Amino acid sequence: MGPPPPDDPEARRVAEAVLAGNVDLFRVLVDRESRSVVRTCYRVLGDLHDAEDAAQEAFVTAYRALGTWRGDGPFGAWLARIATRIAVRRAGRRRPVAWIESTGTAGEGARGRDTVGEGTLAAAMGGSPDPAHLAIRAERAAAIRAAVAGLEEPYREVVVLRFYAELSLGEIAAQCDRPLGTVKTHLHRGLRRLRRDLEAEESR
Amino acid sequence: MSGIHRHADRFHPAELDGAVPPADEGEVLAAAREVEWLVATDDVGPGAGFTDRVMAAVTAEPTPSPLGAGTSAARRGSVGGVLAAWRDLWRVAWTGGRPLAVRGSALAVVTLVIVGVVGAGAVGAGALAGLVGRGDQTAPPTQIVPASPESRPSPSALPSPVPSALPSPTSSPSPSPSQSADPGEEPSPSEGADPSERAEAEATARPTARPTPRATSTHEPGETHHPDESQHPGETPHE
Repeated sequence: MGPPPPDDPEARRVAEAVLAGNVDLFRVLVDRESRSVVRTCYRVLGDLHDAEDAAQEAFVTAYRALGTWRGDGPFGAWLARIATRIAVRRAGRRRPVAWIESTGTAGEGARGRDTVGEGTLAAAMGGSPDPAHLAIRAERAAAIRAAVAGLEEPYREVVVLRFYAELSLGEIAAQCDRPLGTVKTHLHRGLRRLRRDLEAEESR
Repeated sequence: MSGIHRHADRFHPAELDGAVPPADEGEVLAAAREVEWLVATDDVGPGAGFTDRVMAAVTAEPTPSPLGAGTSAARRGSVGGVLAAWRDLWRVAWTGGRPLAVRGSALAVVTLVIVGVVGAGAVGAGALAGLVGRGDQTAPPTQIVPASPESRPSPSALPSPVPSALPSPTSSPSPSPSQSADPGEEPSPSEGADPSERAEAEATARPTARPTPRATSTHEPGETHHPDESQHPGETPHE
């Protein structure tokens, strides 16, 4: 077994206060976690507007169920699992469409679809984004997202939590109530299937 | 800044220590790098006013409690939601790590529900026993008398190979008792369990008994199939 996930005493105190009726304190948790939750949802959905909607739903869901949070690990890990489930469900409901934008940034306030780090890319390319490169990158990003979304459960959940939500395998095991060895096996198989799916996509 | 413990390191097969055979390492690593590339190229965050929007939505919600989820699920008529809420309540009541007030209220609700269910079950069982007892009293006694041999069709109704057409012992052997027990001549109580019928039933049941191989859904050998793998809305809070 790996080391147990670290506790989150601050979140635990806040949760207790919120459960005692001090609802406004929930803002502390929203402020603290919003960036990572939105980013995780964005990685699943590829659209910032959808990601914010999913993140908001995740926070409200977490608020409703705050009493069931065990408090024996990071609040963010618990929230990440809620958020990824909501995002994956939303991604499954909509028809996959890749929108490619030649300009703009994927940073704060961006509303483009699959504008995967175009600002970052532009910076990496010396500030001159080549539309052809951008198109290829966006296509590739969409293919990876689709391949991850197409994985079967439980492989998808483990891959999404490990790479999109950036949880450790110990945290994933704790959140999913699965043995660490099972999580490792699921990650291994998920990545192997992902690779094969991507290769099949490339050969098309 | 996020409070989530971030796994900053890049993926390495050693992370899965032993779960990846050496032959698979390249494949697994390549897939991990693809996803890491996707993750590394985005740097998004919530737009202005996101927290306010979330807080506006949160304040419109009732104060969170384990019971609240079950109540709202019941109001929506969601059986799954109620079951998931019950599971959450049970977990909150019997496992530690929650505030005492939350745990206490969950325990109270769980106790109340158990008492209610047991009480309703006892009343239901009593009522059922009463009904059965009354049914026994009113039933005509002939209905419980087992069928006697007299009730069977009389042998005279059956074609009899015996009297006048009895062949002489010299011409051919006399019909044996086993021949008179021909299923086609005398109905037997066990006709319904005719072996041919059973065989037919088995024949029809056999193909379905074999699971159709499906490559996509079959778990690979050696995999630990955890019961929690199915999608349980109650694992994470249900919406």
